[in-house]
Amino acid sequence: MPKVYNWQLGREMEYPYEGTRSKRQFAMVMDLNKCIACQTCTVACKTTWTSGRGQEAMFWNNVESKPYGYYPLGWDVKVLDKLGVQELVGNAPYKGKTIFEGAPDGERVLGYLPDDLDYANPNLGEDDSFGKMEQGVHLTGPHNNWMFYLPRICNHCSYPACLGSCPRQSIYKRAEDGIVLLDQSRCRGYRECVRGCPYKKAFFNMMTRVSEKCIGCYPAIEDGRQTQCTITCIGKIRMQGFINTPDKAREDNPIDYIVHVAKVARPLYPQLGLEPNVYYIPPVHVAPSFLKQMFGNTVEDAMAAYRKVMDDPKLLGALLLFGAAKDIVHSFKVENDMAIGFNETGAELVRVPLREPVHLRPAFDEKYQTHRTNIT
Amino acid sequence: MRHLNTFARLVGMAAFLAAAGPEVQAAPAPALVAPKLAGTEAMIDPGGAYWAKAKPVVVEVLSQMVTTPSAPTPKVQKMTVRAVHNERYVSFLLEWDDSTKSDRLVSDQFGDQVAVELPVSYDKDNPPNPMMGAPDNWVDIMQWRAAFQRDIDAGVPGVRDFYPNAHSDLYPDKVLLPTDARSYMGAMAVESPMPHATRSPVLDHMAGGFGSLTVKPDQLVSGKGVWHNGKWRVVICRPMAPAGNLDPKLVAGGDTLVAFAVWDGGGHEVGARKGWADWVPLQLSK
Amino acid sequence: MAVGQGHTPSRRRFLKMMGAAGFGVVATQKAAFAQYGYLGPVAVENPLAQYPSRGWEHMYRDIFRADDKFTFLCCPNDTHNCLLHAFVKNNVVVRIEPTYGYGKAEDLYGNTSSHRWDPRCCQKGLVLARRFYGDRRVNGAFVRKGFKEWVDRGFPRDPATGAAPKELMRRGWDSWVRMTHDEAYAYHAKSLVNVATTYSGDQGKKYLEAQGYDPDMVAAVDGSGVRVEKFRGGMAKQGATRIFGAFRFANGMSLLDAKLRNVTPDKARGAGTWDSYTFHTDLPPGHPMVTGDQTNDFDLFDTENSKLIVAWGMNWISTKMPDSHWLTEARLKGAKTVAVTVEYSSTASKCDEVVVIRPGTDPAFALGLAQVIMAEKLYDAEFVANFTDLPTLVRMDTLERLKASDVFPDHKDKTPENWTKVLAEGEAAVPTTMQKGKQIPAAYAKEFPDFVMWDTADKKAVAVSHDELGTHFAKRDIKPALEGSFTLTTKDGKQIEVRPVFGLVKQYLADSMTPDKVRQITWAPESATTSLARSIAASGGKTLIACGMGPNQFWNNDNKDRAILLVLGLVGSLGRHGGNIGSYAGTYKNTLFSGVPRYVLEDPFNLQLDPAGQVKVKPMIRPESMHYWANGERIMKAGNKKITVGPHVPTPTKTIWQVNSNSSLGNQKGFYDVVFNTLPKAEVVVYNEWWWTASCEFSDIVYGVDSWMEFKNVDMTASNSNPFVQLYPRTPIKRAFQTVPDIDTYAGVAGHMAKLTGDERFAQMWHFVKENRTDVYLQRIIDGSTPLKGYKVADLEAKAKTGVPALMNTRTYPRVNSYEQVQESKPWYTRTGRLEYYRPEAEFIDAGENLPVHREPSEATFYEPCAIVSAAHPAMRPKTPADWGIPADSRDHITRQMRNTVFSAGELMQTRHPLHSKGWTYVFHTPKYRHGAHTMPVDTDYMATLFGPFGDMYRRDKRMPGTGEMYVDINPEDAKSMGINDGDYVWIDGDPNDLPFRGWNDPARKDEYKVARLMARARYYPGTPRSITRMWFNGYMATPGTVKAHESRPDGLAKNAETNYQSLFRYGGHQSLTRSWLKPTHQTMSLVTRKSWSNEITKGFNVDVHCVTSAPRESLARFTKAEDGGLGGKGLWRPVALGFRPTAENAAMVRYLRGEFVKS
Repeated sequence: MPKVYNWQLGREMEYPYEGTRSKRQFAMVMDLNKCIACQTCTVACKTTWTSGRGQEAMFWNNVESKPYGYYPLGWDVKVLDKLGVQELVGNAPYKGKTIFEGAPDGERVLGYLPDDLDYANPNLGEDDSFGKMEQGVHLTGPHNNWMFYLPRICNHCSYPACLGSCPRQSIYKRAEDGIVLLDQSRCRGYRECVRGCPYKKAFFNMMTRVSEKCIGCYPAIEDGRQTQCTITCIGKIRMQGFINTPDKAREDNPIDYIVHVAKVARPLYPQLGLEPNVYYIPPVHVAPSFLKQMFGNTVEDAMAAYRKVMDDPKLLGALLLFGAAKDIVHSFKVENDMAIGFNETGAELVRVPLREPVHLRPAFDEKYQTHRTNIT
Repeated sequence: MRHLNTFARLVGMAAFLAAAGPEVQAAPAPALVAPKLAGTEAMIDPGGAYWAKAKPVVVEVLSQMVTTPSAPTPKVQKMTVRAVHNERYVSFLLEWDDSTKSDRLVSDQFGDQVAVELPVSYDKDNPPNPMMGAPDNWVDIMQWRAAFQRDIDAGVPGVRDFYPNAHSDLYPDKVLLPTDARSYMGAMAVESPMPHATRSPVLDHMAGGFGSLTVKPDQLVSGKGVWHNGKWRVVICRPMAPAGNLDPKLVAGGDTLVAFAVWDGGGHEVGARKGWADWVPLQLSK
Repeated sequence: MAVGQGHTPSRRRFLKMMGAAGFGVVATQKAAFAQYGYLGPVAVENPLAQYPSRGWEHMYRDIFRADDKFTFLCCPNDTHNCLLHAFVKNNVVVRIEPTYGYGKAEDLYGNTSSHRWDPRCCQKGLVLARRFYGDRRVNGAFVRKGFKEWVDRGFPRDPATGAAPKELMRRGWDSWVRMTHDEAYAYHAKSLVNVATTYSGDQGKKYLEAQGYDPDMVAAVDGSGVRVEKFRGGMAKQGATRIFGAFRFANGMSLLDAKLRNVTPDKARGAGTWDSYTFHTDLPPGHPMVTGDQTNDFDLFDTENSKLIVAWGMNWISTKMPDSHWLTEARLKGAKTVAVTVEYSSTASKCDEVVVIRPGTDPAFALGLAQVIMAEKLYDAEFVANFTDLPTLVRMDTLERLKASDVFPDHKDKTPENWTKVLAEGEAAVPTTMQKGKQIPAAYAKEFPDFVMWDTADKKAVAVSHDELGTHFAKRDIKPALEGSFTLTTKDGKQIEVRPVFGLVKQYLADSMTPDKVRQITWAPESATTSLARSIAASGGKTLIACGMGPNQFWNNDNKDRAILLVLGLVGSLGRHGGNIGSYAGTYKNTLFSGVPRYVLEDPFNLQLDPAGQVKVKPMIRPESMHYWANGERIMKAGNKKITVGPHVPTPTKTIWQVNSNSSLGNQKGFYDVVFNTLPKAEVVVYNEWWWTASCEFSDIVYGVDSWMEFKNVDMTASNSNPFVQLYPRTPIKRAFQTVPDIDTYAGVAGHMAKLTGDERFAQMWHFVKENRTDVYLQRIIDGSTPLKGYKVADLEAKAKTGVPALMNTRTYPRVNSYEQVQESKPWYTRTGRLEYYRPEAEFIDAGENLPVHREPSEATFYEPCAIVSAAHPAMRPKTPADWGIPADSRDHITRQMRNTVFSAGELMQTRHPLHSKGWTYVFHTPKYRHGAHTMPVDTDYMATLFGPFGDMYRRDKRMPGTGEMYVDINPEDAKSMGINDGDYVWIDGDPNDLPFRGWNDPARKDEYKVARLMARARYYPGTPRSITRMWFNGYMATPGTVKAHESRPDGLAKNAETNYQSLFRYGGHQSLTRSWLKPTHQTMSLVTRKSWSNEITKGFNVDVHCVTSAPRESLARFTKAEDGGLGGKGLWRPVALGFRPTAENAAMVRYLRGEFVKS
């Protein structure tokens, strides 16, 4: 197998194809401290893209409660279990095995095909927390009882396992934006991608007898707009844009700043080796032992950095630009307590205050002859 | 996937012989002779009396181990094949044991399938790679699908055929004009042949190496499959005269090769996860 | 290598594919894939680098493309309201998106909001496209068969009682006749006239008595038959003209009363109207007891200015979704967040600290905080002296507040003048926009006497007046005593002991509410009480406490409010940006639309038909609380004591017309008792709905009305938790069904009333509806509203059409209550003008609640219900059952609430709830959840599928009522102790004396019982403590039609075959275990409060401000396993069997939870 360089692992790894990076790489940051599991993203995605026959149980975007939520059932537990205990990612280079390196003879990747029933109950485990709840508790610091919400879309990986496992190359990565697409006209429904994608974001449609996956809302992206799940996110937890590799990081690109400079966001299960491009700001109320398994060793640094955001106005500004505009924020700056986002041409898209102002109105308005009160 | 293609092109037969293990030490199957029959119609009845005139040949089915993904153990060990022709159509009858009929495709269920492969242009000194041919030496592959057979016999299934109690408040085609609803039909909206059989349960393809299997624009092959008492009996029938340069040229008295592949849906066989049988000489009687 | 080219598919091919998909023609074999056709085998070199044929990508672009978009306002039963963009293909809405216009809102002064406000929407709004075209839309007008027959037969009645024939009143079991709206209006109008006629005068009185109504209720009718006709626009602020119109109609019924009783307009009476905010149990009833105002709250984004934010019994993250980011962003920026909760909730997961307490013990926990603050002297003495009644003296002989005139000879009370006007005899208050503060009608002028403090400087008692708070009080340089006992001589020479309120409270807390005692009562660890108290005190007045409906829906809700307000009053964290109390539920602040009376209460006898003319206001409706009706038309009285008296007393209910009101029937507390026992006594039940709800299931007439998407009349709403005024823009989309605007139904029925009575004024009431100028009514409201005056309807609508709202011109942005009081030393709407923690009125003294105390819940407790928790205290002198002639051990539903028995914390632990020994040992509470705004739109397929762990679009288990179903959350150990597995179906029973309906055990009523007895899935929920169970509130409940369908349809759907009503329960519902509660302190004749829409003071009953709130979270449950959770009722629920559920983890899952799949 050819070797490709995975910066998240800090080393080269085996991959079925020669490594090539797209001109631009689709990326998303999600702040798990702000996700409220309202499922607005899920419904936005579903009503926009998958309301057809055969797509009823298909959720390209889903939000699951960790640790007892999963869609499909037990997906990450099963993948981690198949891969076995591995070294922690973060003490670069990663010394463990990826799902490509761990593939058994005759297979391209280490994967599994979920049972049809695993897709039932898409919100299984909603709000179920870890640990026993006593009659009367006082939780401080990391919570002894905890749960958090994990919104998931296709990671539009730099080294997709779906693409790597398709024996007829019907899945491809768009050079212009790195979005991974499944060719609806060439797919023959083998479901190798369903089996191969560890995040289980490729789905089989029994009415069309071929597979389908998240399209990164390319019709919106092509128009300079963020994805449906991002523009509808009322928790304001998401920012979608483009990420560069660490060596080419641009400080004025909010995604680069958050991921590469401030280092508050981490990829999901980087040890699997796909170089996924959704980056999560870890939930600061959860025990690091669980989070390291999910986001790698540096998760604690990310949590610490998040707690100290007031020392980094630029980071605060980048985070407050989440959900401020529909369009993609290609660059940003912070000045006079305002965070300002710019589009690709450098034109101003939006500006938001780091603190919403207080306005005081006159007690009596002479012009309109009325009192103004906070009462009635 | 250059490395794989190159690999396949170089090794060809030798590779799979080596890969296929001891069972191929058994004597290679004798030639498949297709007697010439009277008539001008396509012969697609698995129970047709004309099959009595054809000598059955038992072919060894090997697991596909050359490329990935592979099927370590073949679910089907052997197939009995017969061939007949009437100068206009050549027809193959393929029979094998399968205790479960698999013609229902949902996320974790696959369909039974069988395929007949012919060189597009046969040159004895340079036979195409039996594994899907090669970029410079194409093959013709006719694949019958149990799911297509079910479409034809019982009609194209709807959501409630798979999930009898399923409920959905709305579908785009309920409220939108067909022109607007169309794009919501996924592969159907982009002409994919996969969603359901149009008329024949067999799709005719061309291939020039792994991953290149491609449905032909013209579909002239027909066939029919019947499952009874743990046995599939499937007929695949094609015109002998080529419709274009993508089709093999078959004439009475001519020789060529034929190879086979079979998939057990119940055993999760699909795509490259299959059993296959190597080239067998095919003689079309005068 | 040959590579095929992409190609554009043709329409012809599509039809063939459609044909093949079963829609018609079949493709010919030849050239079947000519369009698809590749010229040779297609192979791809490296799809990571390059892909040859991308022509197919047009497919998703086609889906995304829309012809057009328009803006509509989504306004379900929550406190948000969102302008949304609907994207359209050939006049069909295909998807919905936020407008990103909330960062562009402006006020009249050029102030703007920022894009921190965007986006505003939620999953409930985005899924609406499925609902707008759904099969439960009310398509036309429907009249119940039995009702139609009753009207057609000329209203036959029982000669003795006047009651309508029972066999024609079988609501819920009967079937329907579809007709035009106008035909239905005629039936409706006829029945309104017939019923009003029947129950007017002496004959009407005789009938009502013969029907067994309480004489006090019959007396309240006072001969006016229109008063037994009830009208209600639910959460009317959601539609200033469309929903408030129901009340305008009720005021207009005075035209009929004048005719029937043949009286002059000044003697005429309007119809009865029902409450909304108090009916929904949204009012925090203790707020008016402390501030005199309905609710003290703050715009949620005031978190930007806070240091400490406490979400108290408020699941902010799940129920204030679009404003959740203000909480998480405040935390991001360094504010400390704390959750006071009864479980590990979604909000808990966003908080730095979490305190889990026993449900319904919030008053005790708050009092524990106050105890620490007082004991450790952490209070703000200056704020306490300047703004609270804590320094005022109480007479220990009468327990009344000492009046200056009691002890100072010839004392003359000062006339209130500070931002206050005492009206002269017969003088009416000026319009609200011109009111300079508090307006005191002459009749109440004496209610604001000067009071007394003990000045420690001069060591003497001093008189202090209503006006003297804040800087005005500081000027007097009094150093008031907060503690101690003083002896004074009254004018008539009597020696009396007096004590400051502060000292009395401190003594109560020290003896009864120490952290240790609080732990016994509430389960809260002592560390939680002490550390939270200290954090609040340390925040320097920058603590925000956002209270939710959790604690408010318990019987002791006013105790909770008074206690939490005490905590914040002690530390001066009130009426400030970043420091305040709020209570969140319902779109209730219609007082901010202070011009509403200019529309609702316009004098029907002198209608203003000139758009520019002056409007004459004449209130003639009789507001009352619906809770008495929901309580089986029973008021509160026992032994020799009547608690429900005066204007609190409701009239009998014979006709009902409700708009925007699914809570009031379809999701009514004690639903099955109401629909099977109480509703049959009504003769006309009418609902306006755009979606077929359970309210429709039990109606006589259902008017199909426009959904928000189809509005053709401009209308207006605003929220209580955000600063926007929002217009419903008229939309261009064609109506998808036979529907009309709500306001047309009023005009339509009124038109027939005019014909029947010959009084044209009925029709003229709706003159501007006929003229298609409802904006005239809207502008009248705007011109009379202090935060809106200056706006023009046309301008606001034009902005709304682009997705941009406007800002309310309240005094501040963010709006914070008590701002004028604390920042500008203006009085609260209380007797002393200050925050009043002591309630000297007789009703409070009799109830043992003159001090802020803790009382146990009325049902949801393991201990003595309604118990007052207190050690012996000199100011604690409640009336005992004996005092009121109630048997000593009577603890039935009514008498327990009048049972003022006192226990110390230790003694309380020794008591037991009367049902405890019979197996009712589980508290069962029913909060709202993220998947529904009230019940909207939880029955929609996607929503039901995502609602909790049991959703499945494919309904592989046909026992599921819909694509999802409701469930009860139980602590795993509790469930195991009852032999209940995770995912099993269980029976859930409430108090067998009353629930699910009175008479359930009568064999003749087994069909009703089958519908009413609650069955649901049980989920192992690790986040809830033992003995505490929860079921979400939002589900559509079972009706006779859904039970029949569930048992007869092959697919098992619980979907009414005739109406399509879709239940999310197989049997019963969450309201099978609830009922009405009537707390005595909610029913006083003496509390002074502010009327809505004005600064006027009133006394006693004040609809939606001071009346009963009930307590829908008061339930105790018993569980019995019904069926296995496995597919089709066999074995374990699959996720349990596979080891992916709490307490059933497989080996890999155990390793996963420990994070052991990686090693450093």
